[in-house]
Amino acid sequence: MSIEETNEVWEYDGSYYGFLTIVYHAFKKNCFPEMILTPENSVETLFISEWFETDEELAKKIYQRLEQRLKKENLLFIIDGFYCSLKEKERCLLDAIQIALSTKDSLTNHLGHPSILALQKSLKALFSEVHLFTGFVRFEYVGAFLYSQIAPKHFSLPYLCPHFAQRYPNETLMIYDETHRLLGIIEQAQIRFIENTDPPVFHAQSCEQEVQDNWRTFLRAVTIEERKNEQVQLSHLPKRFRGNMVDF
Amino acid sequence: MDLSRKIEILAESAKYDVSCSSSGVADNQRTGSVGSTAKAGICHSFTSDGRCVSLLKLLFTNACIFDCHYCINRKSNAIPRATFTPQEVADLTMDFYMRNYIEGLFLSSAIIKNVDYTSELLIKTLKILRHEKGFKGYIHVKAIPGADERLIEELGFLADRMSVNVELPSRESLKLLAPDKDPFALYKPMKQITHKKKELSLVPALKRASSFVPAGQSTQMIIGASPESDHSIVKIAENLYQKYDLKRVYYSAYIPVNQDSLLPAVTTDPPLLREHRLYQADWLLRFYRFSADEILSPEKPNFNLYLDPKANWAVQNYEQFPIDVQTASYERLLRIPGIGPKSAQNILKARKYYKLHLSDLKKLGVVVKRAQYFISCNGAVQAGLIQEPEWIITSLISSKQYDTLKKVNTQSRHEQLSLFDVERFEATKHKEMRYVN
Repeated sequence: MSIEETNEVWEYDGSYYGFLTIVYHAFKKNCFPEMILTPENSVETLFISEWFETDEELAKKIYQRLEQRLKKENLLFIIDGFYCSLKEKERCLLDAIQIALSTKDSLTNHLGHPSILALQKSLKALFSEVHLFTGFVRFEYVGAFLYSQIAPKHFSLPYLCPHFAQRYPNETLMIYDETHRLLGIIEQAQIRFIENTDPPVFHAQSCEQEVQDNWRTFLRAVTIEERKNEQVQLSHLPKRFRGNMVDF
Repeated sequence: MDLSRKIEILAESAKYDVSCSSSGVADNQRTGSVGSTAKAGICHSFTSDGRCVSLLKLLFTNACIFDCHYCINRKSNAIPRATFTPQEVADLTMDFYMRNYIEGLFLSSAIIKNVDYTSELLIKTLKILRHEKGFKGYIHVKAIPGADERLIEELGFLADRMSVNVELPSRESLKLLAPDKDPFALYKPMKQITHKKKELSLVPALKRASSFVPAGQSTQMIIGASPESDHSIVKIAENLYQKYDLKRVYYSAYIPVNQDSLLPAVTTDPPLLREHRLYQADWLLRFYRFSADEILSPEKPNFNLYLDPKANWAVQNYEQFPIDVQTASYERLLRIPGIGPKSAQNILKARKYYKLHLSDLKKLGVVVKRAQYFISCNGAVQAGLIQEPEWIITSLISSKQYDTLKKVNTQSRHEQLSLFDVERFEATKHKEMRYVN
């Protein structure tokens, strides 16, 4: 299957279904545009673009088609790729879909292709942030449930919640993502999200202060003065993670 | 004494215990209602000395009956003493765990009354956590050498990881510096744990009552308090990995805490660079398929403190290079400085469908400025490089890096392996002579 590379510029609303609609048109027309824009980045460019309206039904059909045609791990690679913060990710994803359709092998074995390499690197950054947050999230009790606030760079919260659902299977938890204004709610290991919302307001509990003081005492006590090296501390725990941590 | 003061004393007493890994157990089969273990270790914080905090690291008590020369808690030291109750440790662990401050508990103890009594206290604490609180999270506990075998076994069924500290790398040093400890008793629990694990692995999973030390065992050695060479330490580590199937060997640069004629003076700086080189050598043993005798030898028993062990090996075996990245096996790729297990795997994947060029390697995670002297790509080598071991050594270390290494190096000149003429090297660096690049 040879696909024509054109110098067209396409634009869509940035949603997941919107992207799948773009996939439909790209393969229908048998051509890949040079650039795919969303309202977020279209203001940065003066190129004239063609707008593609999201068609939810068509998108669902395309998803089913991909599910039938692609290896499970390749489909997952493409879906995860959509949620990473990579410049021109849509264009890379179209390449990824085309490669995945033409091979029975795993996409990660195609690291020699620049689009796959770029996506893999971006996914690595996303998963690395998720991994760091599994340790750096700080909860406090608000009544009977646990609450936390984070400011991730990537779209990490949906990937982070399953970890806490497994860790606290009988608790109710809330994690608020300030960057993407997303609230994750975990109730008895069931996860749901509220999009585009403000952070909930609570009153701090008095017993929390004592636990936090004990934690800071512990951190002070385990520090070895003779080995002091704040540069290493900074590289392992950059300042962007520290805003919502009680440790500092 | 209030809880906060106890934390202060007993966390401070435990701070020299090195242990940062928090897991190694995926799909924990323990029963319980709270907690989980992740396959990869999770760091929850970093102290200002740059070390990671993943576990609530505490000493159950620091009221010790032993008098080991190197230990801050030796009975002849006049320091504040404290002892937790099992309930206090369990409550504190749960408080911190629920707020995601920690991944689990690391519990060690000084010897209070006798070894069996101390072990019983540790068992009681772990029982509260596992059975009353339903805690399924990670627990690392120190086995008390000399304790009854049944107690060690009971602890093993409650914990995820157990460790016995080798403390000092030779029997002679142990006799001299830890007169109350029986050097033979140290290896006994290690052996017992290995045997029990092997024995249980033969029982079908469904018939096993519960998991025994599922995350394996580890140990720790103090470096710089006694005169052993780096080669003998690396050999011991290799033996421990092979013989007892240890998960980790930790090395702890000795920080002089006691005024003692048998030990380095309290003004001596801890040998942090030596510790760093030992960890690098340890990685070579565990992930790069090196043997101890390839890293060091009885003729050259100490590390070159200016060059990491892998680069050191590469320049000494320069006849084996350049290695072609397009065709070399995984094992051969791992031998190239600047290529780690991940970038080696990336290379294998990337070259499957595409012909690699030298310029692609950086994107695949290779540290090209180190690897460039040792690689070729489809027969091509980096243009302009002079392929000469001595020149490569000079190029691998920048003058800034050399000055930093010199500052942190606390070993005297005669203790080091001198691969090259240090004075000449220094003169070259400071004249800022550059070949081509």
